[in-house]
Amino acid sequence: MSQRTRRKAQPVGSLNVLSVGRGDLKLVVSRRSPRELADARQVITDMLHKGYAIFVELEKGQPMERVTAFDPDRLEYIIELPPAAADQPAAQPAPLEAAEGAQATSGPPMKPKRGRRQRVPADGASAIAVGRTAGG
Amino acid sequence: MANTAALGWADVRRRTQAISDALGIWEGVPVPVPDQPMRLYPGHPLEGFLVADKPASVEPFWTIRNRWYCAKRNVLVWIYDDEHGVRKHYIEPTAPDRSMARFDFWLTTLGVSVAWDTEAEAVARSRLKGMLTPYAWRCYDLTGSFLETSTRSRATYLFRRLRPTVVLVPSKRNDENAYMKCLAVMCLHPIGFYEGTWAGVMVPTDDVLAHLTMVRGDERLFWRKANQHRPDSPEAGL
Repeated sequence: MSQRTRRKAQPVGSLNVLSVGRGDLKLVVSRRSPRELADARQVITDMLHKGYAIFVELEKGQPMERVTAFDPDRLEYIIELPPAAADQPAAQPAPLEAAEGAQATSGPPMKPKRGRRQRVPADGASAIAVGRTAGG
Repeated sequence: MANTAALGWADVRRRTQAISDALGIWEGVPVPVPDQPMRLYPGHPLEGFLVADKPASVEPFWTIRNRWYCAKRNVLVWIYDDEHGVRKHYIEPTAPDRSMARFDFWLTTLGVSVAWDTEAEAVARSRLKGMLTPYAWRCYDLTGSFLETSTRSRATYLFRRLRPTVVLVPSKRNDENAYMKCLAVMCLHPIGFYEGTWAGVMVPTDDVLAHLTMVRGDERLFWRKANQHRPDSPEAGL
C-alpha cells in the first residue's frame, strides 16, 4: 500500500474591502502558494501605505481592533490593545467627555500610556478595510 | 459603422468598474453624475478630474470665500470675489424651518442614486447583516437604522442609511431612567460624496458599514475624521 501524503489544512484569512462598484470586495489572505503569499503581503502593505484603515475581528462578537502596522515577513497584523485599567493615568477624556467639555482634574493632562501590542496572523483572521474618508 | 447607441447608467457603472479593476483600485472609482459636484478625500488620484471647483450654478469667474447660515435672519450668507477680484456678499433667503433645503437634499440624493449598483447594495446588506444581532438587523431592514452602544465610550450611536449618524448620551450619568440627549451628528463617507446630498459615492449600506466598523474598531478615529453637523441643519437629516 502506498503511503499517502497528508497536507495540513492551511488557514485562510479574509480581507473585505468596501468598494464602490461591488459593495464588498473579498480578498483571500493565505500562504497556500508562494504567489498568494506574495499577493497578500503586497496588498496589505499597499493598503496601509495608501491610508486605508484595516480593522480585524479578534473573536466573534468581540469589538474589532484597528491594525496599526503589518509585518509582511510573518504575515501578521499588529494591533494596539488598550492598556490595562491599572496602568491608565486618571481622568483621560473619552470622546464622550471631551465633547461635553468636561473639566479636567487639577494639573496638566497626562499623556495616556501606550497600549500593549498584539500580533494577529493575517491568514487566520477576518478583517475589513475602509478606504480614506471624506467628511460629509 | 461605430456604435452610436447612448450609454445607459448600467453601462457607465460597468465601465467605471472595469477601469478600477484595470487600475487595481480596490475601493473602486466614483461614478460621476452630470451637474452634480462631487467631493473626494484630499489627495484622491482622480480629484482633479472628478471634482468641480464650484457648484455649476456659480458664475465661472467668481470665487466662493465663505458661506454660513444665519439663524437669526433665516438666510444663507455668501461671501465671494467677483470677476474683478472685488469681495462681495449675497444674502439668500431660506425657509424658516429650512424644510425646503432638506427637501432639496432629498431630491438630489434621489437623483444621484443612478450612480449606485443594486447588486453592490445587496452585497453590502449581506455583510452588514452578518455583523448585527437579529434584532438590530430587523430594525435596519425595516427602518433603515439601528442603535448600538459603544462598549468603550458608552455613547449610543444611531446608525442610519443615507443620513449622518446620531450620537446619543444619557442626560445624567449613572441614571438608567435619564432621557437621552443628542450629543453630535456625525457625517463621513469613504472615498467621497456628492455635494448637496446625503449620498456617498459608495452604496448607502457601505457608508453604514464604514461608520459601524470605525466606531467598533477605533472610535477616536471616527470622531477625528467625521464632520459634525448642527442638529437643525439640513445636512443632519433630522
